[in-house]
Amino acid sequence: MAILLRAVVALSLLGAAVIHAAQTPSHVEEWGRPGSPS
Amino acid sequence: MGAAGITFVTLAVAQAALGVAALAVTDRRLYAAAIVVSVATIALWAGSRTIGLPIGPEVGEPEPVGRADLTATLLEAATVLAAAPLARTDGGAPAWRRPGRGGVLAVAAAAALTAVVTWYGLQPTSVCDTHDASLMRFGPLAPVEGHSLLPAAIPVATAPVGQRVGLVVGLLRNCATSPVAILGASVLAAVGDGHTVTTSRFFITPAPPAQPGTIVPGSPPSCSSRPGRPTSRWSPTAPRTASLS
Repeated sequence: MAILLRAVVALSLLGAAVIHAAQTPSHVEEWGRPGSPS
Repeated sequence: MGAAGITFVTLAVAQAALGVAALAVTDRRLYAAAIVVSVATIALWAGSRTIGLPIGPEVGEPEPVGRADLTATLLEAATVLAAAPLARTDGGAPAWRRPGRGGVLAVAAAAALTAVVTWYGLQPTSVCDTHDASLMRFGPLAPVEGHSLLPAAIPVATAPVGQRVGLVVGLLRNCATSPVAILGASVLAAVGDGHTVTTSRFFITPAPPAQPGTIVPGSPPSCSSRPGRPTSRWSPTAPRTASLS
């Protein structure tokens, strides 16, 4: 059971990291371009 | 890079580091850290989807729930649920001890499920279903190019001295279920010299197209919205015609 929980922890974290990394470019463009609000 | 970009990069790096560490280390502090990071991320996401964030281009305005952010949140919830018992017991056996056949099958199933969920979260969606759809609270038109109608490298127009200028307002997608009449457009904000005029919001009236010689009504009825999207609301400060700000 413990090994399954560890696998879920590791894989879920890696999956979330991949999704957040994939989302990063659009947010950089939206918030970071010249003349943008931030 | 703006605050959101830094946040996303930091979050991705932290989660990747914790994920890799969780494959090799069994330490309750690691699982506790995974719980803290995941809960904080879920709280940030929930705040951005309910009351809005205090920073960014849309301060205090809640964003719609998208496929990617919802999928990431589900993965973070799974992390919390799985890490909670491990944080109390130090993770049990050493990380690299060979598991039995049942353990191998369980881990393989978890890996396959996580891969499918992650793949689903990474699938591209229509511009009407993405982050930009938050603009649909003000109208059914969504900009295809981020929050700006034009890429930053493309000027809205170059105005020679004394010459008339034609403006290109950009590329929009109609996310409504019926045609939308843009009665007019005006640029409400221009920031700095040499920068592209930034545009972010659209205020669309549901009134029929104005005919030549007629006057657009001053008190438009409520905006229409696509079914299933956040309810459109009319801002009393919004212009009466389609405007770009």
